[in-house]
Amino acid sequence: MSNEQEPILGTFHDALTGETITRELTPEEIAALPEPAPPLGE
Amino acid sequence: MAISNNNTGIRTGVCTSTTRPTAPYEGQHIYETDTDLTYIWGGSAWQQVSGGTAVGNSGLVYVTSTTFTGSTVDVSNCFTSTYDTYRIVCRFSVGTSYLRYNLLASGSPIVGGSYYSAGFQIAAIVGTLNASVQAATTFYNVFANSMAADAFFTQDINYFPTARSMWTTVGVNPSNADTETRSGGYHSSGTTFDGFRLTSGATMTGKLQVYGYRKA
Repeated sequence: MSNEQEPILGTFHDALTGETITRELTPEEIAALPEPAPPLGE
Repeated sequence: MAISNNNTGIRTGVCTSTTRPTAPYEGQHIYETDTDLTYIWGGSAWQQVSGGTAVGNSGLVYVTSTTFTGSTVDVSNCFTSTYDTYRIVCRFSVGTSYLRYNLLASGSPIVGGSYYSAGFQIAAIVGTLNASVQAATTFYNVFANSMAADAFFTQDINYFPTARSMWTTVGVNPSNADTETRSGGYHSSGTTFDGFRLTSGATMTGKLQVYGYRKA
């Protein structure tokens, strides 16, 4: 069984050029992601 | 048949509102120089089709769209002074997490403690109404509580980077106790911005569109 985690991706779209890229987030970008929250009503 | 010329255009049916053709044929185009409106004769009446003050200066105008997948979605260069107000329309599937929103400036999120908002969420299944207030936060919560499965929201944002840019958001998250959210917020610093970032702790997959409200 592999311990490797799925890569965390981000999509970047430029409205000026119409270009869209999806890439793996950097460690800094991953560190800035929010923590999961419990569902409403629980 | 191909008609091609790099230096000139086709000039059809130029008249005024008082000098329209008296015996038009169905499908005939005219352009009125006094109203700046374009019409097609529909067989029994002139049908206004486009252009000019009456049609051209009203309604939503498409700016951009994208499909996305990931924990962040950046849309750059979609906000300019071309329009005073923009509308974002977004539907996506997602795991259990928040959905947060930041303004973008030259590709970087504005994260200073200048986001203020208030709103409420109604959970139809569990019968709860949760109100939330945020002051001087580093982001704006589109969905303050957890999302689940799929979600949809629209946001109208007033482009006013010299002072306060304000927005209103309406969203729904059916798989999280049939939750509907409504909130309003603003960014207080007067920072110039040109886009927005959506952030979640879970992978989002969906599509969004941005429109501008054409100035009256």
